[in-house]
Amino acid sequence: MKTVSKAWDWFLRRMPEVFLFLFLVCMSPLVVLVGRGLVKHVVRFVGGPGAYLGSLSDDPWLTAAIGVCIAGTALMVYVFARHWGAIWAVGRKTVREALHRKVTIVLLLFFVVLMPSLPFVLKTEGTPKSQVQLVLLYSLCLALVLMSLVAIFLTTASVCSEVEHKQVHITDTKPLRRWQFLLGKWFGVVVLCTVVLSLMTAGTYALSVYVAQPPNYDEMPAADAARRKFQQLALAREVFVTRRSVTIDLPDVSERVNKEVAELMATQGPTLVYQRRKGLTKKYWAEYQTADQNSGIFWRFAGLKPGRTEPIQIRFKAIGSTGGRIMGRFIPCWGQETPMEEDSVKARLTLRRSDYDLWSPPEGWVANAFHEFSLPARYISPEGRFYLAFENHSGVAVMFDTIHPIEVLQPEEGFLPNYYRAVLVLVCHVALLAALGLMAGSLFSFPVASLVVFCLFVGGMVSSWFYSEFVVPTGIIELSSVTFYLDQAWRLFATVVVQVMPDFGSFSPLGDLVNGRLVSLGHVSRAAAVLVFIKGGAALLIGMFFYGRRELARVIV
Amino acid sequence: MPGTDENVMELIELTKVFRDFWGRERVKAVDHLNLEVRRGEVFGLLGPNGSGKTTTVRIVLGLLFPTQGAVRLFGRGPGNVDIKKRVGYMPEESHLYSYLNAEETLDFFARLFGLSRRERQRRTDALIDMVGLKRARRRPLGEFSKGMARRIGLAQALINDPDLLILDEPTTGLDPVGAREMKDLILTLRERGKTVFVCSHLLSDVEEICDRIGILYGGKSRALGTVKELLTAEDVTQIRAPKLDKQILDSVVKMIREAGGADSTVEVSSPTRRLEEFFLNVINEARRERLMTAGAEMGGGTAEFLGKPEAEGEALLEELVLAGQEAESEILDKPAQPTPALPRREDRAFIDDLVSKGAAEDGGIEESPGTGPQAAVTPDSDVRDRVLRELMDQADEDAQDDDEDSQ
Repeated sequence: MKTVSKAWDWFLRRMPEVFLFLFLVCMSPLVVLVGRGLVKHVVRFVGGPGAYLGSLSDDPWLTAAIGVCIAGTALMVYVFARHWGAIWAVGRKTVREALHRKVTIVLLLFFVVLMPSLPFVLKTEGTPKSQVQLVLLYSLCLALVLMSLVAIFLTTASVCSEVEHKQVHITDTKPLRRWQFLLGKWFGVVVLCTVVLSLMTAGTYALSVYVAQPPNYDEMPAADAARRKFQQLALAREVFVTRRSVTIDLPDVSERVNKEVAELMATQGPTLVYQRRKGLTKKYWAEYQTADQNSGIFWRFAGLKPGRTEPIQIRFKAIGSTGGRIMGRFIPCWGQETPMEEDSVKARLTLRRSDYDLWSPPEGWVANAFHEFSLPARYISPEGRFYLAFENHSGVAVMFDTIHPIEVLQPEEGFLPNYYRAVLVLVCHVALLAALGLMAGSLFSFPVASLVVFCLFVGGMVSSWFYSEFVVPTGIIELSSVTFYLDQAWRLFATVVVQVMPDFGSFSPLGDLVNGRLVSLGHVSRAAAVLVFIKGGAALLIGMFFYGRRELARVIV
Repeated sequence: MPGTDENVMELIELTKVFRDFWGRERVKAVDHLNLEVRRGEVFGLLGPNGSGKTTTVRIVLGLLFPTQGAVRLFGRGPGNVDIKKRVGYMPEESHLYSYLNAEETLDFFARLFGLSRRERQRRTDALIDMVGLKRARRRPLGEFSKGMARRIGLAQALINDPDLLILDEPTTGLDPVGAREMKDLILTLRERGKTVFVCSHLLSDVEEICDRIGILYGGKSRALGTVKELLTAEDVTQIRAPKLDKQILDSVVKMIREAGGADSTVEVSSPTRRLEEFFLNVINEARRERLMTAGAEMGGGTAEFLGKPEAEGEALLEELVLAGQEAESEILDKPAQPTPALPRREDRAFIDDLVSKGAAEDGGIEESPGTGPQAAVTPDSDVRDRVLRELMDQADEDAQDDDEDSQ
């Protein structure tokens, strides 16, 4: 008994080291992923340095994000290696403090209680696919929100309470630089939150796998069993998979739009330029994406991986001119790349049709909803191109969505790596919130600091919507000069605020994850670059600046 | 070891003004304060509540920034990390982490000094033993009594074997045993060449341990000098002798009166023991009988590592420091400031012995009015305390005069 109690004591005392170990375990697959990516890049570089360097400018933002990540990681490794003693001393104490405060444990328990009840509480279509998607989406959202609250609470409370309870009066007289103190706290919170988030997401994964288990088909009527088998197949092909998405490029219609807007302004006087432009662009794109009655539409996709055997999926959303259901069939086409006239939709159907087609179900496809169907992979050309036609039998014109255009999804790898990368993006969210918490804790007292970060958190969740609703120019011309400048000033201010604010919405990987879409390492790099290194780094630097210049013996109210 | 001329701490025209949100002056806590603390001395900063002692200490530690003036610790600014490695600070209240236990607390602070795991363990063990918390080493600090927390507060201040120890109200919250140990420790540290800066309003403590004192009032320095200089009452003579017969005593008194002493200024009494000494005797007796206590125990003697640096960097630093001290001692035959006569442990034992005999044989001596057997001060400390209080009263009056002048 004494040995057990001693071992328990030892375990409690060594808890921070246990958490650090688990954190390293959680991060180790990332090292493998990054290593694998680096090897690919090196091989490409050795294969042709000129072509490789040229390809870097294809997606300059991704290149920049990877650059930021490499520089940021190198800086972090350097700083941590040089000041590890002080940083970990504070970090491990922060972990102890967090465990002492019990907020983490309580929220973890809350999650453990709430998560398994989700499949029973949430109402779905009843298919295994929708059920698993909801379990994944809600559990991960719940985990993210809970850990965000933990990160906000721990960082702000930790800094503010140390100042308020005068513990900094002692720590600050030790050879501990103030930035080390803040960095140590950040690291401690990130270690703790990453481990707890990993536990939560591991639980979510286990639950979704459990929910996805196939029933015993022998005990079901044959028709039900067949339907259920089909649903299970859809689940495997559309959720528990990682698929690369290739979509069409909508043509550049700006010239036509500008011309028409100019004509409108000449004939009708002042007008809402931006909205007109948006409407016209949508209209012209729709022309390219509309199949007339008893006619067809044709798409070409490039950038798919040839030589794969797994079937590809087509995902689309369409609407008939009178609403109703969509009838018709999709036909993959054979063909070589031939020059095509951009404005001649019909001409594209001259390609040779394959012997395969896919008819709509007897009741048709529901309009204005996403649908997916599979096609064999053999239609992908050796160059990675794929052609698809749609023959409209709906009796009315059918328009395919231009906001979410039709896409081809090609299976890339299993579900788990994708899940892991999605969790990494969630960790980036939490790391940013921890940095914001420390910044606020350096500036304000406890409840105020938490409230400020909470507002930033909520703001970050809705910033994309806010931007599109209130900041994007309405472009009203003929404004009086005062109103014009006020309008311009507001837009500039709001744009800066939205850019500076944490933008959680646009980096959220959950939508892609639950639809079996690839959450690429590039996406993780972008999230890490923007959320952790740029915004998180800036928040930490601001916090360090003010904390370093603060009179710690004076409590800010 | 008496003080040398090298200044460990210098306050130059130090001023601190606290302002409100609108920048209006609210209070001037420290007002053009000039102070020097020399290597190897115990300096006491005295003053009533609100006189600016703690503010001064906080500025010295870099927790507050001076409005004007400067602070120099070992010749450099207080924010310097290398300087912080040589400073230990025990605040007035022990602001420690309630969720850590004694061991973890000391380990945490030791980590901040970059000590190796083995060294951290060694120092933690030695200090916990020294402050008498061996039995409570695994208890969370949240469960500690105030006195126990003070002890661990002291231990953390010593974890780096500091050259300069800053103690804010060191004996507050300690039991008499702890207070005695604290004072002994300060004296031991001084013997080992450390500099100690003590902030207090407990006059007897300061008087007993400090080489030099400064008295603050209204943020201004009102008196500064060695304890002996400030406390010696030049117009009074005190004679100490073994128990005398009444006849001899009468003749001595007669001689003094004949020599011109007015009746009211001649006082004859047997010395009484101080309450502190009496209390310590009782406790020591209890310890000899091995009675148990749940709280802090008697400290285990000064930790061995204090003043005996082993780390390479510290050893180098020590060599440099010692070389400097040797060079100084060659130049100066004797220390600049005389060491005040302070009772050592052996002396105290002797005095105890003497005092207890005197008390036992007490009987025929004419007692002066108002000096009962319960008066727990020696005539010696009585005089010193009176002088000290007079100084502080004087400071008070000066300050009032200043205020009136300014109005």
